[in-house]
Amino acid sequence: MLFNSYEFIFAFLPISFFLYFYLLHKRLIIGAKGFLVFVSLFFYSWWNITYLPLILMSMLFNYVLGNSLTKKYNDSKTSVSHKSLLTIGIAANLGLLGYFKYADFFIENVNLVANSSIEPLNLVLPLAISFFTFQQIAYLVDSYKGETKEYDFLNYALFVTFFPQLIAGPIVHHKEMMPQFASKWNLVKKYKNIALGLFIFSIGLFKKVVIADTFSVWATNGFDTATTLNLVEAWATSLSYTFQLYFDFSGYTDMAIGAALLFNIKLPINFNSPYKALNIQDFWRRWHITLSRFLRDYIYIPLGGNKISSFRTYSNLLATFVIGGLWHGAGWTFVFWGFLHGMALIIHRVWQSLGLKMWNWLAWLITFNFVNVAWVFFRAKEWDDAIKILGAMFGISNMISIQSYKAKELLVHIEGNDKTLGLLVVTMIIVFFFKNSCSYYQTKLVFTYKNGFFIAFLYIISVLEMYKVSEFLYFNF
Amino acid sequence: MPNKRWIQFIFTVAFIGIVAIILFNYLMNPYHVFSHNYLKEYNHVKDNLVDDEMSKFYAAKDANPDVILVGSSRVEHINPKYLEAYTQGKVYNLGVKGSGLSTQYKLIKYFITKQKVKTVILGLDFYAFSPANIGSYKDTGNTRYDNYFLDDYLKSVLSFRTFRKSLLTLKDNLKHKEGRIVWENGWDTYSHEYPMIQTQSDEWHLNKIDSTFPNFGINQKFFGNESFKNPHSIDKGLEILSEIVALCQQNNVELKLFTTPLYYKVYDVITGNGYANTYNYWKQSLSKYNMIYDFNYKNSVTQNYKNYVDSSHFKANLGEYIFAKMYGNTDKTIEDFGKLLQENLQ
Repeated sequence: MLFNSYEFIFAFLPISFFLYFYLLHKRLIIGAKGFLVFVSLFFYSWWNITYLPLILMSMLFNYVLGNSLTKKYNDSKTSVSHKSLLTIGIAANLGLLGYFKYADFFIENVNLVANSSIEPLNLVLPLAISFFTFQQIAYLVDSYKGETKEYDFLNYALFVTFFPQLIAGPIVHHKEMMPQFASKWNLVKKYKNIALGLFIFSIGLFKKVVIADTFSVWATNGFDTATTLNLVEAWATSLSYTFQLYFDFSGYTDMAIGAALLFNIKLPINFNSPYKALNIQDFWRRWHITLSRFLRDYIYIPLGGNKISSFRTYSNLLATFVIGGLWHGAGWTFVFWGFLHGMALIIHRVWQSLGLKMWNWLAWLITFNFVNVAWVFFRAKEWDDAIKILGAMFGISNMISIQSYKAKELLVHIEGNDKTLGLLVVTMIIVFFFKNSCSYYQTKLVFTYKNGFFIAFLYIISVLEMYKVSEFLYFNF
Repeated sequence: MPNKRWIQFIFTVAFIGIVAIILFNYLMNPYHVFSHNYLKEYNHVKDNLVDDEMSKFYAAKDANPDVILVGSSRVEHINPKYLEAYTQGKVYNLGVKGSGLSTQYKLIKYFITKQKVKTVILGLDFYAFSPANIGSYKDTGNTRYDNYFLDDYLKSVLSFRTFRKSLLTLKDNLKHKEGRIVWENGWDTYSHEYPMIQTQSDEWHLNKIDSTFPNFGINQKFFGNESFKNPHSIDKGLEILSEIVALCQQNNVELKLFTTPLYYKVYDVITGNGYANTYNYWKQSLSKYNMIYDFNYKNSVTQNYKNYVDSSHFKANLGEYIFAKMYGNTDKTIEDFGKLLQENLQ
């Protein structure tokens, strides 16, 4: 089920909300939590029930293993089987992810190198597998370190399946979620949280339905349909995708945060105006924050982080980002996107170590354009598509071939018009100069008639525009 | 404001806003999807369409015709009154701009099998057979050609675009603008009423038409499509045509076919851009039916720019001569305009 669908907004969410608090009102706490797990699994199964057993087995396996690790940590800290259990757990999780997500990529490359013709498996990627796998690996590692408690299964199931964050994050950590599910203070309706949840949810819905989905048409035409592009079309295409991705994913996250708040659960923020970043490190502190946190804590630091030597720091950074790229998708374009970001972070570190400074506007310009260019590899289905876009963006012959000043003629191959250029300008202003939605989440918001009208207006527009079904981009990762 | 009251406030405002816009769109009915007659004097003119196929389909369904005239924009511009002289019952012009054979098949099938249509007149365009204009047509489940298609209804009441179109529709009606489409019979009056043709000089008129050559139709849908140069690229379109013929036979529906008269310079574009083989193959394939009237060649009508409103569309009154030839009314026939395509005849 999509957050931006009528069945979610007018049926699933209100029914779940009222029944959950009704059960709590009747003091049926376990029943209420069980109900929330049930509706979350129903939410997950709405697309395809085939993979429901997969998530259930994964959850049960990791819960049992996590509890065993916690017990063993308390019993004997140096037990050999303790480490073996963790290895088995991580291998099983990665094996599951690898089988569904990377098997065909592996087969394709083997065929290419060995000139063989092994048939691909053509498996459908189970929804949310990348997210729930990472979440549970973190749980196992922390259980191994003795940083978890022996949680009950219901709370654990809620931690994994809680529908607002199940499909595409934020990637939550058990330390921030389990206490919330266990807290008795969260078992009563809180109008302040409901109001704030509705406020943030409306912003996310508007970002997705009105902004991201509008850009998606031009981005899709430019990347997938058009065979040739001129300079303006190529920049309009790449910028359309840059904004589409941001508004799509941050819109999803806002909706997840908003929906979770209705149940008194505070999810971590995932975006903090990333396109305002003045360097690439700053960008990764603002973009998909919970993934960056996971990569830092469970890959970069275990690899040695920045504690060994400069060379190791750089190679660790590169490895972390190449893995991060591969996490997003099984393809060399994703690997290359991760490599580009890893290299950019290395260059940034070298620059910092030399004590060099730069004007803020120039730092922003370089960072934003680097991110924009790197997204071309992230979005392109094939290398040739990426080269087509970048060639047109930077090709000198393209610059002098422009013969018209009418938007409709300039953007003919991506079916753009004045609206394309207008929306790009307006969006740039919003992205670069406006406050981020998470700032309302983190500060005390005063509810007034003025912001009430604004939020109601966002709901009116979004609900009217929602009739076109469109999935979130991060559902594919 | 207290949190609870703020929540009630946004729900109330959002609810009122959404319901008001949905109701307004429903009443204005800008795409002619709903069959109601509310506020007729404020929504009769509907010139702000987003999907011609959808609007024509629902309007025709409402009209419940006995005879349908099917084809692309060239057919849409023919006034159905010229056909009424030769047929029994209500005639509806179901021409849809830019439609290919696959769309035409779906329309014909629906109106034969689910309505009471007894006669089908199909105007054939060369482009309608191009692979770029052929889509899926067999599986009509969960489409408007099935029974009930929620998407069309949602599209007609939701979205800000529809709200804007509703406002424009209201504005047009308040200004008593003359509508382009006569919804009662489906006629698109564009070619008949095109105001510039009436007021400008002959020189202007000729220049308007001739200035588009030799680059006429060089795009993916028409003469910029490389695959269309291969004669067999139209085999799918020909197969659909044969299915239309069979469908009419099976349902005892009278079917009459004709090719549309294009401006004479278009034939030079066809030859000059490498589409002659496909065009000849098309004509040969049509001739096998021994029942198709051909107007699609250079003759005294197609060589006279005054019969055209632009390089792609003829005037509405040519319909009179087309149907006269097809129904053998010698009083109104132009000698070299129209001939029966027959096998073994050049």
